[in-house]
Amino acid sequence: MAKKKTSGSAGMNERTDIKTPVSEMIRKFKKQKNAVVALFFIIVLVIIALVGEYLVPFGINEYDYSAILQGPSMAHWFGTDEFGRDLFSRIICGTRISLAVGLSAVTVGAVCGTVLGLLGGYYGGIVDSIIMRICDTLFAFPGIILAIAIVAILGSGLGNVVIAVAVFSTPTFARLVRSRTLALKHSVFVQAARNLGASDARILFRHILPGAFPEIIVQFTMSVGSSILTASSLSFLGMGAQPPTPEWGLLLSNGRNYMLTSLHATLFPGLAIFLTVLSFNILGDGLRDALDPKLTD
Amino acid sequence: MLRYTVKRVVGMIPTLIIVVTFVFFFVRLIPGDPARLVAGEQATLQDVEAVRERLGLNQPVYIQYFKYVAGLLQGDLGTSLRTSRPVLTEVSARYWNTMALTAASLVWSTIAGVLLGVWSGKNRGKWQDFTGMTVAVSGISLPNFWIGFLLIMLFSVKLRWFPTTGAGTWKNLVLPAITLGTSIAAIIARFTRSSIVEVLKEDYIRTARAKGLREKTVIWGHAFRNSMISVVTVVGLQFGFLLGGSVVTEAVFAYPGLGSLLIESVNYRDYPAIQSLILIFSLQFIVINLIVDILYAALNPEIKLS
Amino acid sequence: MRMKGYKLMALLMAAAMTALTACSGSGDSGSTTAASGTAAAGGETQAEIPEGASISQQQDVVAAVNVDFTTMDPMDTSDTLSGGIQRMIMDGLFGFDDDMKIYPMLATGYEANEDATEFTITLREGISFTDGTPWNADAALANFAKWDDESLGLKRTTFLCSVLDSFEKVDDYTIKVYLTEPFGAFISNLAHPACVIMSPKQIEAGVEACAEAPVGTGQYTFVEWIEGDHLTVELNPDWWGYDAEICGGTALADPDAGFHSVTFRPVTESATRVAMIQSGDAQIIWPTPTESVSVLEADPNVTSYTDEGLVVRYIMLNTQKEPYTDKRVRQAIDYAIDKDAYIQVVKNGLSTKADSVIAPAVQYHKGNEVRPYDVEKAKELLAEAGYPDGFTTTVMYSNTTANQKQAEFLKQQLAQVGINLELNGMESAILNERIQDVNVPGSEAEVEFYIIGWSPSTGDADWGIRPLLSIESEPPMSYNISYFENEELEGYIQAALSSADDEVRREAYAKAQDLVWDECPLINLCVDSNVWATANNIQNVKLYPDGAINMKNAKMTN
Repeated sequence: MAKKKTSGSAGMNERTDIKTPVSEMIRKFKKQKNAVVALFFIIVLVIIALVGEYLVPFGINEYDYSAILQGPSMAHWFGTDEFGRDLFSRIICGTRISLAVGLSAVTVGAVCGTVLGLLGGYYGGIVDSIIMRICDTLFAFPGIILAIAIVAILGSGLGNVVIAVAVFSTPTFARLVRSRTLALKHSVFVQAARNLGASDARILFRHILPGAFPEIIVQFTMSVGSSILTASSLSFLGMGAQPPTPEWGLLLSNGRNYMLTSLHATLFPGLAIFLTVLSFNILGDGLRDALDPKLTD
Repeated sequence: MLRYTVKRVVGMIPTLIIVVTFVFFFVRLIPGDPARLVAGEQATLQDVEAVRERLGLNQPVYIQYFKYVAGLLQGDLGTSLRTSRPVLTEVSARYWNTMALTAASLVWSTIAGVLLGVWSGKNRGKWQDFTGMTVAVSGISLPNFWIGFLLIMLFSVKLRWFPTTGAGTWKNLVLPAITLGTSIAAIIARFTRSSIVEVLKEDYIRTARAKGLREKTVIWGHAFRNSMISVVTVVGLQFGFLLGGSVVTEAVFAYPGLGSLLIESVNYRDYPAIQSLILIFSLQFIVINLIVDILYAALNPEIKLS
Repeated sequence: MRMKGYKLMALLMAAAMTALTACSGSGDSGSTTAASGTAAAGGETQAEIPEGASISQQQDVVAAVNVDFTTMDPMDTSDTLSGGIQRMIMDGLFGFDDDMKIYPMLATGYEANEDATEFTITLREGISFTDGTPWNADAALANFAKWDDESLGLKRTTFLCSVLDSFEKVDDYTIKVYLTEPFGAFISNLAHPACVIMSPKQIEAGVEACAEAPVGTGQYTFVEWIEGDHLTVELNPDWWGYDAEICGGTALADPDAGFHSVTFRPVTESATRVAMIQSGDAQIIWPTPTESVSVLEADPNVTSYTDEGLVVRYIMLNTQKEPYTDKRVRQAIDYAIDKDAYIQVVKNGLSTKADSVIAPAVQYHKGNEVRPYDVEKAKELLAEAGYPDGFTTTVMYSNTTANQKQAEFLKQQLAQVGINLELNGMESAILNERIQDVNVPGSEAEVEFYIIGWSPSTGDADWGIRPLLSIESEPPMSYNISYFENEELEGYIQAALSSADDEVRREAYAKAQDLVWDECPLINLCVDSNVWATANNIQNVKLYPDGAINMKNAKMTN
């Protein structure tokens, strides 16, 4: 936790000056040990996602019917699954899929939500009302139920899971960006830009959007975690990834049939999901504390 | 206050009309033919057609819609395509199960969340804070069906303390409520903590301390009471989340609630049942939001009721 | 066309049931150690509970099942689970004994005219429904009237009532039924679970009342059905089946058999179901997931049972689409799949290799030599057919866990011969729409490669072959998803349908099975086993080969 801030940083004017807040943020962020650890873990995950499949001892579809559901051993660190496939290799290779699902879903949701929020907040009136009613309606449905409905219509499969998760993360971003936009719309620098004849698009994307960025980044990080969880819940309900994709939720869901005999088949995929989501959440917390001027005491 | 409440209640009506209409047509967009599903696995085309006729699914959609709305106005939710029983009977039994589960989850998670949050908040920056918040973040990072299975393994199969499935007694509620409430407890803990941290910075807390009040009194008598507002809001908002989370939890524990009925109804394309469930979910969400707003206003007189 | 099918199908039922006898009731492959707290012996079989020593009538038991019940109206029931429970509450005019032999229940006998168009059925005397209504000709006719009422749109009406013409009361305990056409196996139809007898009072109360609260003459009375939670039945100690005199000599069940009450709980998660019997929350579970059988066998408090069932698992290949138009490709796929590994990996060892399109328990089954696992031969055939490097194809299936596992296994196997199997599992509702509800020629259908399980619910060869392979059964009519069109096979099916001579029919079905085996429009993977488990102080709880529960003579010790 940061102790003392050096100058009054809550003012609007300073927020537009990108450089100082960034270095300030990094300084504050570094002080949060667990967030740094989480970031480090996520970087490792990303590296695994990129190169993992070249490092694993077994292929993801390399089966061995004589070694079905074996517990962890030297050969198979996380044991084997119901086809005798190496669980460690599958989890490593699944990193890419699970991260990709989480990241792409939230990216789509963030982009859509940001655009909607900017438009609604900036133009107000009927545009704003329509956008906000849609968001309210989407909020009225518990996330997983909305996702189930969308997957039911589009069919199961990872692509549709991404769409479903993106749809229900959109309103969160929209609301967030809208409220920032409302605050920034009347600020001095936006007025100034408008007086200088800047186009609406320019004002929105060059002046207002950067001001909303810190909040977007925090929300983004937190949402990645919950998206990975939702995607795995959908796999659990049979609406997610198709086998033999080593998506973590699917691994976990398959393993549950063997819980009584082979706990490792659910334990390790569960841990992989848990640790990843945990890291994103801790990172999000850290970023928020580092970015939020109010919390810096 | 009363005018505000009345105004809000009246304001719900258009939303509900939209929900009813939207959901009615939305469920029919889902691919899949209920007549074939109801007719069963080895049904031939004749069987399917006979079932379709009986269920009234061969009528034009707008007629089905008007019949549905007419029924709704008389309090009739329709007949389940899957079981041929009135949807109302099916839903009402399960409704109280889900409510019991939701309430139990909410109660324990609020208590646990608040305690954890206060503990962390008052020790801000110390190891207690770190521990408390790590526990809390873990709580929102666990896939809840996974917790469910681990709990069954440990407490039902190994220790035999609690039954694996079913509903009706308090023992049936324990494991599902733990599963469902974990993430809520974590969320509440986080909110309580930050709001305690905020409040502790206020002048009147300094004054209270300066007056030499005991720390316990300062925390619970002053800081906690003032952070209640944001906690109430969060608890209210989590209600919707709980209903959603119950879908997965109920599947794990074969808990006869609305969530498992929803999954079953979606599988069978049981239109009347899906419509009613979504209507209930949204109605509930709207009502809870209303209550939260009113409570919020009551707790915080500064908010203008407009 | 269809009517004729039903007629002859039913004609075969009686005989089919007899054939089943040989295979059922062998729940001895289960194994446990000694029962806890009793003198029961360990090992393969349990000690018989001595006469009169069963305490089951004081015991309330819980049975966990895999799906929720759909309805309690027999005529509207198409799932085995609901049908099995209905058979506990209601008796039919005829029924099945433990070995699925036809047995007079509420009837004592019948006479048919030579054409088999008129049946005179005599009714058993001295029986009442559990609501007090006496069982007599009027009660019987009320049931016939319901079965015949097509306006009710009940699912099983076409199954039975397409042949009903009229019916009348001869005297208080005799009725006469006229059929629209000759139908020799009418009595077998009456033994079908859909034809159990409901109290006339309930019928009068309407279809919804029947669906919600059945009343019959059975061993159990219906207590309540809380949707999604449980269904409870309670022992009817006055059941006529306990009374040797009414039964005409031998009672249907021992006086100390039957449970005080049975509560059925639908538990979809199979791991949870297993946890229930292990923790003692349930005393009976079925079906047991095959992957958990080893766990249950190791549990000293549980007995696990396995018995061969009627379900055969197939791959259906669309014979009107490339490359499956070529018989060699279809055979190559059969050679490329290691059935032993299939049973070991997918079924956890609990099923048997299928040697025909119908299960051995089905009448007129004729086995063929199972094609050995031979990758080289498969590659050779593929090369001959012009696919030396294999091809890519998509398998469609409903995405249950069991099907997913099958599909993954098949993908692994076919990869060995260069066939790239792409998995496309989907919800069964969507699958139905894309496979079943299409009305186009096979060459234009989406389906290429499909996984299905099928059991002739009537236990009869016709229902195991015609719906899957005859031209009239192509979607959307029925389930010939292979779009198999073979005039020779049609000939055999018709020959078997239009004769009542056992030898003629046997020969026709033998030829049909040989032809199907050679042509390979569907690949036979295995015959499923029925797997169930009980607490090991319970005896005589079993599954009929069709998978329905049978606990008529159930007993229990401490």
